[in-house]
Amino acid sequence: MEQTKRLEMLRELCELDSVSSCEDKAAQWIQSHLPQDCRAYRDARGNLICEKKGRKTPKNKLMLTAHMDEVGFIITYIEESGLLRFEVMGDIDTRVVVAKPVRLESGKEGVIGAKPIHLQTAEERSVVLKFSELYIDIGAKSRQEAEQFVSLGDVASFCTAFTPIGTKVAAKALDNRTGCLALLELLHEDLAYDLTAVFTAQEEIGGGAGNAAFALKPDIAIVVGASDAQDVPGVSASKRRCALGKGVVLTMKHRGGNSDRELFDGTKKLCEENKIPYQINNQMTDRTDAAAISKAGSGCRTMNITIPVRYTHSPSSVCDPKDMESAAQLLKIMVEQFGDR
Amino acid sequence: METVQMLKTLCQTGGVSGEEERALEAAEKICADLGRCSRTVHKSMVCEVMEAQSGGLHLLLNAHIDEIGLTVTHIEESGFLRVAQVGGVDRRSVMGSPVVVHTKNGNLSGVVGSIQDGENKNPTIDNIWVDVGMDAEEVKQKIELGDKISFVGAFRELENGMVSSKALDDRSGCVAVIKAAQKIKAYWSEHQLSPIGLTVLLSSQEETGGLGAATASFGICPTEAIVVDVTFGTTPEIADKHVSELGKGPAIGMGATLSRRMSKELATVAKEEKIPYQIEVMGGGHTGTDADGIVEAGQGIESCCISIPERYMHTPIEVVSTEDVDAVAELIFAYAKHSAQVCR
Repeated sequence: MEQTKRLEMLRELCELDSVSSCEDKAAQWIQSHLPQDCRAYRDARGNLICEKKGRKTPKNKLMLTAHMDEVGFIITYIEESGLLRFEVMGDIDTRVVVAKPVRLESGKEGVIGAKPIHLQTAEERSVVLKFSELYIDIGAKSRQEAEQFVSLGDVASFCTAFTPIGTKVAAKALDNRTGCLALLELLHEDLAYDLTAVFTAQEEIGGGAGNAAFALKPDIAIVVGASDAQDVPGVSASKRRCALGKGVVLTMKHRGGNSDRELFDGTKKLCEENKIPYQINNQMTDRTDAAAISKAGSGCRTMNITIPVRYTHSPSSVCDPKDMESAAQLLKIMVEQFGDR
Repeated sequence: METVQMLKTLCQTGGVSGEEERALEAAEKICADLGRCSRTVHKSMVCEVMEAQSGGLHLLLNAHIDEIGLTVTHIEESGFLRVAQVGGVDRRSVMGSPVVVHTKNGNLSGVVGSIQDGENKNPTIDNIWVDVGMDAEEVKQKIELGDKISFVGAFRELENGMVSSKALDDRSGCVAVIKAAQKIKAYWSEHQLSPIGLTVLLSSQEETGGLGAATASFGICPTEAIVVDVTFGTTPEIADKHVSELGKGPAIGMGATLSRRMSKELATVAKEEKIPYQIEVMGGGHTGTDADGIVEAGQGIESCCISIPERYMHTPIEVVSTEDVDAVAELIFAYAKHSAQVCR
């Protein structure tokens, strides 16, 4: 895929609001961009399952996944004053939430405010606010008025604009719309083997991927996600995990499990043989869909590949489109090689 | 121009303290029909709406055009920008903020990063950086130390005539004084009244100490000044501070250095003209606005403050009520009519 086309699609994907448990928008968009030869359906957990025909039926049944949900907020209470109280959906650092705009499910936009700097004590300036101290302001003057735009249980998402910065892009939800796009690109290829692509739901809050794996019974699962790149000031080289622009990330260890050693070594070899830029992140502290997939039913071999993203789970995450290209290249070759391994 | 449109135009232009030119250019277009506009030594904009008459009333309407932001202090070998604050930047709100770096050759987008060190502390400005997505070589070609950085805060219309944007502090004040001057000028011309002196001052560098207004007002030498800035609008966590409320009208300041006469007369005309208003008691000897510099300029200038209640001050999502902005313009207009009568 051309890089400009890829960026345009990524912009559209990132601008969709699909907070965990409310993935319909992302699912519908992906479904409407699938090739003709894909049979797609949603399962009980909200996963979008796409059966793609290749030239041959593989010896190993292949399942490739990318989660389509994003972190966000859920409305827990509407104050008499019209202000909205909320909790988080997924792991969000409170510090990236203060003074940010958000969009409610109804489309109504609001802002998350806090006490102005002038009135803060020295301690208040330093100590991180709690979510219970924050609220969303949509300008409503009463609960009744607010209820025209929001109900308890509605979700809200960040609403930052997709912005090219230098050779990179900044946006909300790069974790994991980058992975979704890589998987979608793969489905548009002429593939050596049949495969099942699953755009999973609720990864950020636990995940529905395990259920899909149980139902599909793959022999090999490839999980495509985002890695938290720490290639930033103040982080020693040993703690950077991965860096933007250095290629697709192969992950051995992740919270809740390991990639299959043989698949990991095989993937590394494929990168080297095909001159695909890659890096290894063996410090992944996040739980990914791989944990649930590898233990679904009688279990399956999994491999985690990721795209490096700075400032994940914030309204302004950053990625390098070059790394998406490496991921797309690698996925196609992995399907060719792993179908009969 | 409608208030909302004017607010949007002015707020969405960059004008970090010390580099207000882009915002002033936008303001100058709006003020084109108002009078002759010029720049002072410290790059404030002065617009002479009605020429001062010797011995007569000369009213100065002031609001500051600058906004808080950051400035580039160092370029890391990794290409990240280290920054210092320009004005009171709220360290609680900077992480994950989109920003714009204003360079000699145009604007570059970036985001604020910080180590998520798990220390349960907000990063100090020394510990944040701006990521412009480029390597050091490219950054050094495009960005210079001292370049200013403004926060991105899109303009949003909320419910009940409330709007959210960056820089409403104090572009909302700029809109109020421009609208007031337009009203006064039109009324005087329509009724062919004997002229009063009327000058609009959109001052620079308020957020960094008030240099712009203090020096400009010395040069203008008005008989009295009305300073329009924003004040704290109430929210749950400051409910005990007895601050102003959004949508309840202009907050007329009462403070030690301010003119009691002007404050009282503003309240009187507000009552007469049925303009909603609130009283803001500004304790201590300072107001934290450009009034502090203006009252001390030259031989001293009789001054008062009218404030627009604002939530979330000094963040990219400040909120004001457009009704309050319009009411400030109405109040100044009513005050000008009243003062002209008293003077005659």
